[in-house]
Amino acid sequence: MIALLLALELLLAAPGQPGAEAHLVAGARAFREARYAAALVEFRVAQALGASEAASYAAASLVKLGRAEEAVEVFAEAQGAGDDAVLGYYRAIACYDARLYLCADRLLGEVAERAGPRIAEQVRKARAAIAVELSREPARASVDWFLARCDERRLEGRTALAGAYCDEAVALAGKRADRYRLTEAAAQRAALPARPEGSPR
Amino acid sequence: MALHSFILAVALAAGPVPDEAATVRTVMREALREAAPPPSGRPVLPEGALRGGQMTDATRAMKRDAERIAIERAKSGAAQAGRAGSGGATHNGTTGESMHGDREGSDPSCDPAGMMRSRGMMPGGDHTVPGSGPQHRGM
Repeated sequence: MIALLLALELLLAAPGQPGAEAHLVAGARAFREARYAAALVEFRVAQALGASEAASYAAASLVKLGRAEEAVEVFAEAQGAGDDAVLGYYRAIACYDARLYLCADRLLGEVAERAGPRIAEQVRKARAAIAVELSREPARASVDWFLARCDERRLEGRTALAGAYCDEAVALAGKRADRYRLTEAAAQRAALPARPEGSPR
Repeated sequence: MALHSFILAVALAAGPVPDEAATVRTVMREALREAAPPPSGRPVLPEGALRGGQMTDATRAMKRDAERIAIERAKSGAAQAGRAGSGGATHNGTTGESMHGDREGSDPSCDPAGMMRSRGMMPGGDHTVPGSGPQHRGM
């Protein structure tokens, strides 16, 4: 009997407490009502209380609030964010809005038709626009910009974001005939911690 | 017996998702689909300084601070969470800034000199004195 009570204690102590669910529900309600700042707070609390899916929802709220860089970071730490096509689309938009167009293009390619016809149409348009922009050789100033951004974010301790900017710098430098600052960009990227599993390359 | 109970607990913990969580997933999936934002404008590789439309680091830091305070309040009680939520509800689109603005209005620490004056005039020094909030909010 005591063992059973102990087992129930263990069960109640497991992550994903009713408190977390209450905040998840409140967050979902707020998101549905387009109150994204309120949704973000609720999802953050749910996440802190152990609701694993809350991080992706918080990231989606950040996308809706126009806070793209933070969304990129939160998506990077969210578990299973890439499994859901709609959330994958939000993640791609976070990259797009942070001007991480290569990251966005990769993620949009993974979403493709899986998220329904309306989103699929947006995916096609976005990928076509990105393809046009990336069809010409990137300017040296673009490589400079991404490298500077990478360094800034690294100094702020935002390594996931720094890595995303460095990845972009490496890819853009590699698209230039003169490989402008490619070695430097690759070295800067290599000095950052490895990407978390499931994060955009 | 103990082992059996332990296995039962683990199985229950890892078992079917509670209805509420499943409902949230369904609601969120639909809400996310309906609210799916289009890409913001034509993609243009940056080649210089930040554009005017982009948030500065200082703005971003302010938004994060406001959010952190809201989360702390939400954690401390459902009533306070509701208040934090309604603050953002009325200003969709720029909710982060409005949260910060509202918080500046209601938080006496945003104007220490003013509060010292109020406390000097009001016995007890209660910072919830009527009228002090709107004075700040309007600024």
